[in-house]
Amino acid sequence: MLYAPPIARLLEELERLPGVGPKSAQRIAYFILRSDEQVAGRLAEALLEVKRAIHFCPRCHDFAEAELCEVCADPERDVTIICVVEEPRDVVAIERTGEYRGLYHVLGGVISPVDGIGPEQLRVRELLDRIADGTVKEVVVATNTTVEGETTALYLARMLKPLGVRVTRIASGLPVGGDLEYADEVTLGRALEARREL
Amino acid sequence: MTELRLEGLRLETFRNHRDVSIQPAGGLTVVVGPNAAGKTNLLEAIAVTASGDSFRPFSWPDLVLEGEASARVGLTGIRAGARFEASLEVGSTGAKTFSYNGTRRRPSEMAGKIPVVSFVPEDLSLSKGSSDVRRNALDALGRQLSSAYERIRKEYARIVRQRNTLLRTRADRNALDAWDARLAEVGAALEIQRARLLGRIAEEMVPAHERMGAREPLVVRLLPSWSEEQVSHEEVVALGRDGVRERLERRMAEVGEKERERGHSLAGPHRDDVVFVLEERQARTAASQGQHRTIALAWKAAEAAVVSQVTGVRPVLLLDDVMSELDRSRREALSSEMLGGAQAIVTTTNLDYFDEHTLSSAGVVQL
Repeated sequence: MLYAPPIARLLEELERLPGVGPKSAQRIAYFILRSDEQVAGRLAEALLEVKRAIHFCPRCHDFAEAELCEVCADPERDVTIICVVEEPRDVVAIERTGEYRGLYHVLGGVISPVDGIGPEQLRVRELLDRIADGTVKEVVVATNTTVEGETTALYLARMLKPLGVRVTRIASGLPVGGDLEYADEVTLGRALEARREL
Repeated sequence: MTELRLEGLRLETFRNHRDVSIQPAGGLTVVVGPNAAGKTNLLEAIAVTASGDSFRPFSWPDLVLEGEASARVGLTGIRAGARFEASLEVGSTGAKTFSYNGTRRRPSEMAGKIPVVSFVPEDLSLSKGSSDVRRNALDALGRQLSSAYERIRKEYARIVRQRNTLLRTRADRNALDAWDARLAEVGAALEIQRARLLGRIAEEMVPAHERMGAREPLVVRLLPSWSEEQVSHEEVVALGRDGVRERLERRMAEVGEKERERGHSLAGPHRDDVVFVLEERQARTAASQGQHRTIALAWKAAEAAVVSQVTGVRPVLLLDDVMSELDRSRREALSSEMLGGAQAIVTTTNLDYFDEHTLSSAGVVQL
């Protein structure tokens, strides 16, 4: 089927989005076409705004609006403990548990040789730098329990332990092989309590 | 033992079948037809729907009849006195949906519900084929019996793949260390699982082999990647995870240089072998054609027995054209070891392989 060029262009852009196939793209495009112009305007504005206003926190590499992210800027947080996660969305999942009062470090992925991702492609160096001044006493590794997440946890433990910091891993309660993102709050909270030494 | 009986099978636009229904008999059903009539596809439809896996390599889109959007298989029958309905739908893109009694299931959740044991001509190379034939035979059984087995197997395969890539890119020592530790840990878990499963197989297989008239007693052994000598499955189980892990670590240290040269992991359960021994000689190199066939038959009989023990359900047997591969005495052994009392669907190009007495109580389906 042939679309008018502006529609074809919108479909093409929508299909670039994760989880959006041709059918979803078509549904979204038709929704927008049928809606008021304001709806499209608000969406376009929100998209640009998020790109303009949000950057990576220079400390933990989570998304931030101000210079530092909310967690790093909060004087109430426990600066002796850092929780290492794969992606910003994992920070959101752990914050929702209300169990954790320390800081975060977002790696930006996991070690996966088949995808060409080694420690150098992640923010491992930056994590080691944060440990260097001796303030941090414990690092909680909260990567996913996938093959790559577990291996990354082990790698970090081997790098961090010689620096004299306690390294723990969130444990029980997480379905093995599952993504942190899909675990419910209760399960995650319990897993955080039962973190183990690596 | 829980009773299981398939009563209906329907294939819609599955492989070469546009729409076929059959009602299997309670005991033996013989599916007869010329080559390329789709006899194997019929058995495959049952295997894939019941276990999420085929007895031959396949990709999901292959299952859909050329030019169609999707394929559907429906199985109905009785399990533990209650009617059940299982179905599989596969799209031409490979998207698949399993359901059991109207509820959507993951393939792993089908484990043990409708156990099947298939026997195809390729299975006859069990003892003379390369080691992956035997590893695959064990893993295919393990997968059907336990989702934990399959999870560990998949996790291990992923670790080996990642580590092999790293070996080829000559990465830094620290990163490799982490993968080494994971390979040893998960590899040990897989090895113990396999040794346990092989123990159960051997317990059934050795007496079955003897009942099939073999003169030489069969011994089933393991040859782990970390050992020069064959060991028994009991020895591996007794080592425990820690013991096996240590041996794997030691072996990795020994072959480390060679691994980096070849860019391939050389220690671990992906290099293990199952060894069949007849009169102190390895069957793989020393056995006759007939002895190989008897070993393969005994393994299949053992598989059916182990599936019964573990799931509490006697499996449905799917035999694809194996009668033509066997001589008269082995056909009789197959009938008495496996077919007695079990529900079986057997394909053949020639009804002459079955005696009149057998056929008189069997259902015959012409394709």
